[in-house]
Amino acid sequence: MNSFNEIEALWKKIEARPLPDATQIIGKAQKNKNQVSRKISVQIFCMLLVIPALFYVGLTFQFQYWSSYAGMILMALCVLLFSYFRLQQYLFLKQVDFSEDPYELLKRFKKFYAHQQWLNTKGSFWYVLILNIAFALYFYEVVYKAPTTMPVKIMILMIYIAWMLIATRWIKKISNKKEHKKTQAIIKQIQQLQQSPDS
Amino acid sequence: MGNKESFAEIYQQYAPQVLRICMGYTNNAEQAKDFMQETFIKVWQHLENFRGASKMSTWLYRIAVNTCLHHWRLPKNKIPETLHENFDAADNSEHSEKEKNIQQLYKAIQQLNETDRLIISMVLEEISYPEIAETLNISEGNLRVKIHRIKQDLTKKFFSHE
Repeated sequence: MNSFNEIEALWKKIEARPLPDATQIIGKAQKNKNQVSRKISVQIFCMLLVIPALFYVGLTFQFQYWSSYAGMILMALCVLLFSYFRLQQYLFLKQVDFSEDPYELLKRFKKFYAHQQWLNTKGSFWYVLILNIAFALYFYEVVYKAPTTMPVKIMILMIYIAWMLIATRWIKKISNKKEHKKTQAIIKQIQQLQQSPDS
Repeated sequence: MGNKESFAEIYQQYAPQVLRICMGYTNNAEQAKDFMQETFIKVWQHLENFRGASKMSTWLYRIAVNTCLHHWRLPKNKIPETLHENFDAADNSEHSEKEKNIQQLYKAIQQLNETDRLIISMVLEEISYPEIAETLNISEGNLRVKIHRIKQDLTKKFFSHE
């Protein structure tokens, strides 16, 4: 039988859409931000370890060809420049305060995301390219001119190529995807904050 | 009352209910959210002046009702017919039977006049009759007559579309 009771029962089934809770959203955004900044700080630390290692190699071994030194200098420059860009991102994330105006914060985060995408695509492409040129210069003496047999040289070259392919085609892609996803999540959370009456 | 904690509690307690009432009134999710937010902005602004002459919920519903009616009376804010269909614009194939019925109910409520829409939304939210009467500033007797008529009207409209 058609009655008002059926309408009442139907109304009770209506779920009010979840209302944004600023504290909860800020908590999630903060967590994502900490994960991204932690990843960046570890990356900077690891990259900067290369500098003393290069110093050690450069000062310990007497290379005969200038190409070895040029390769090491290029490697150091590459690492320093990439670390500088990553440091910029780290410092941005460190000073982010989710209690500030979400409209302003969103603008800055979108800019950060654009920079992150640029660095992880075009920036990263140039980084890998120059790093490979640096390695080629360095390996010229270390591998090619070294008194090792041809199969050993080929094997070293193959290992290097394989590692580069794995690092740039697989590990880097997965890592970047995760990082971009987290930044996208932060942007989404800031957009939710805009709707929250607490913000 | 009047501090941030009180407001947060009020918001947590009443926001879903106010949202459903606004939704019943507008049948437009975005507009309902806007009305709900406007209601709570007013609550925030006037919370310190709330003397407790009526129940907190009655005071809040009155603000919500006035917000909805105020917007209805502004010509630029009249909800165009196309917007009433906003739920239908979504992918119908994904709508469950329950969701379709809910949309049908919203459509039927939309066919009532604006005051009747608010009354029936509050009735469906199980707000007590004395509280609704106080919110709308009408006598309880008058309200009961209205509710009886609205229920019949809504039932007829809702089931005629099924």
